[in-house]
Amino acid sequence: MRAAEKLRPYLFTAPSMLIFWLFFLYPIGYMIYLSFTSWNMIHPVKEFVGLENYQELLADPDFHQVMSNTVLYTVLSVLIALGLALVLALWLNRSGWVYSMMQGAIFSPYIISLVSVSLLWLWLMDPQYGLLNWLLGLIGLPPSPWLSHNDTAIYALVLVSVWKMVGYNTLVCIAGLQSIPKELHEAAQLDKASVWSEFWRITLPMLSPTLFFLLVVNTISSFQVFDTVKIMTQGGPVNSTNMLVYYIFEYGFEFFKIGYASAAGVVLFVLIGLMTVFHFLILSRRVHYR
Amino acid sequence: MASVTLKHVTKTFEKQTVLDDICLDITEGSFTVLVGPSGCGKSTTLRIIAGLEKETDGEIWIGGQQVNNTAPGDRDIAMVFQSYALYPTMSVYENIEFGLKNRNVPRAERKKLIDEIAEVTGLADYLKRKPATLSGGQRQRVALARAMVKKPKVFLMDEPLSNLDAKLRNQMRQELIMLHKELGTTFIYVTHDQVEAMSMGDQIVLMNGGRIQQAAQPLVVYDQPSNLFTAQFMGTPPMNMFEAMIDASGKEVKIGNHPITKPLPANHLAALHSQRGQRIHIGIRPEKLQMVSHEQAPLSLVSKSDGFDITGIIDTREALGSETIYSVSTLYGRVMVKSYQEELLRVGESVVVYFPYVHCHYFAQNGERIARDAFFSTRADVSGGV
Ligand SMILES: Nc1ncnc2c1ncn2[C@@H]1O[C@H](COP(=O)(O)OP(=O)(O)O)[C@@H](O)[C@H]1O
Ligand SMILES: [Mg+2]
Repeated sequence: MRAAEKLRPYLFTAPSMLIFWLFFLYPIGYMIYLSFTSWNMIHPVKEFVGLENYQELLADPDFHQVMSNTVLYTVLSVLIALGLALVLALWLNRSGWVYSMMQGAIFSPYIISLVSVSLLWLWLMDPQYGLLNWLLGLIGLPPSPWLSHNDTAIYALVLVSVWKMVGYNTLVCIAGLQSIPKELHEAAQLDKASVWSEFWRITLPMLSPTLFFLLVVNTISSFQVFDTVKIMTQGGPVNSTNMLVYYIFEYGFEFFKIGYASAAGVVLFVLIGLMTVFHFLILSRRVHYR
Repeated sequence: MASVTLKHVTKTFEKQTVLDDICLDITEGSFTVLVGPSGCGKSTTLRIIAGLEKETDGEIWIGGQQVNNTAPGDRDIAMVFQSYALYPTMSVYENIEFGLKNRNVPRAERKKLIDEIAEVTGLADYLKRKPATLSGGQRQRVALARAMVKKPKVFLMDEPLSNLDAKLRNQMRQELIMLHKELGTTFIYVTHDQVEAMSMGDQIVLMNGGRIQQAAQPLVVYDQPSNLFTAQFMGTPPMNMFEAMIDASGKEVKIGNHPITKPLPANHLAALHSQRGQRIHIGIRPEKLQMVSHEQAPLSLVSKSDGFDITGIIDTREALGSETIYSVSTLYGRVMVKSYQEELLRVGESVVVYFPYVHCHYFAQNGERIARDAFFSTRADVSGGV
């Protein structure tokens, strides 16, 4: 009887614990283990090499470029996608079918598979036959090389990422705006607040939990960008769009250096972990939660 | 200080008429209470005065100026919301300061004004706190301070006490009355609570279904309700109301099918003369009825000529301490009696209920009051809270 009582909570949590161990903790642990070995996925022996993979990784100039590409891509995508979403949300947050249609329209890219999105933009950005260069030509601007030049390729990827994310961000921002009590805006009106001061002193602080949530989610997902790189640029030209997850993929499944790829995976894992902790510890102090 | 006047104000929300031809004069420096059941349009009226809602039709005047097209921030008014609407991200100090800052009051003067107000409202120790860390009563004070610091000509309050517990509400009621006396500013106060209306207002505006039912001093509304609605809205329990019939001669009055025991006095019959052969309503407040047990009835002093009576049986009794409320079933129907007698009557006891003529109210079929000679002692100039 007593034993059964004691066992009960463990039984109730067993299914989710099982999933957690099997699909989260075990793979992470296994990855960490692999990062200390040299293995090509076929050889029966995983040779233990200590920190050698990490030394090699940190010494690799390509890896440095990959890291700076990833950071540049993330910072740009997140800032633009958030800023643009805020502006769009402020504009589209009203009733009427026009606004509902607009909201639907900018949200729609979010539900399209990234693979299709990548193919679509590949075609739009085609230097010779693409729609974008045709449009640039129409307004008298010189054509852009888009993905085919190492100066512009990463910005082209940022553009695709923003296009894909901004709708979701806008919708979440609109929901955030609507959850601000109407009386606050009315009180501000009675307090003779200008549109500007109402925005800075009331709307933005009240929206900060929403923006903070989006910041965390967007940063993590941008950091893990893969599909667009794989389909549109394969990391090129000259490594200018190679980013962390693609780099891991290349080493793991094209060069079969599993230990080395795992070491890069551990770096990604630690970075995202640190970012999450940083977000919640430092930034959340400046965010207003009701 | 300023007067507020609404002229034929109408408001419709998507074809639903919420305010219907509201005409209202609010005198300078008065404490006017808008009261009525939920959904009758009180808040809408207040919000139209504030400029937060655009009237569909009509004119709004504040202090001799038409303000239909004046922005809320320029109407020289302050409003206290039911939810207080404090800015959650700002400290108490910043909450009070915001309106001053937007009006370009210099920093030093802002500080002086806020310190003054904080002293008056007892918030001096809380200026650095965020609203979320304050109690309901303290938030209420911040809302008041934020309104007061602007020195508005008119104070608008929308059910400001309804989020407080009963004890605090009583205390704040007193404080608001005092505040009104000290400031001398025009107060317009919305509530659905008739006790609040009676106790605070020096003018009551009773609304129902988007129309003003009566606008008068509290005791006038209580003693001379202008129609059936007003009569039954004010007072707990509400005024007893009986459907009656006056015969063609204008002499005999029946309640239901039962002729009343003693004919109405001549002056009442004269007032009711125009209603010959018609249905009317006879109303009397529960506390004006007198009730004795059946055995004592013949001995009782109340069975004198100036009233009629009916026998009945007590159904329920609520002993509230200072008073007792009985529900009595009689041939006229259910009668509520409020008694201040020390000795309680029992449930199931057979009783006689006396209706003094002097306290009877008459309403025509359409609900309008049928006026009779100035009969009531005029308590009119006594106003609530003063
Ligand atoms: N913004 C609005 N849109 C549509 N109907 C409204 C709106 N505001 C109020 N109403 C309606 O107007 C009526 C009166 O509302 P209100 O003035 O808030 O009543 P009260 O304050 O007396 O309870 C209600 O029937 C309410 O549903
Ligand atoms: Mg209301």
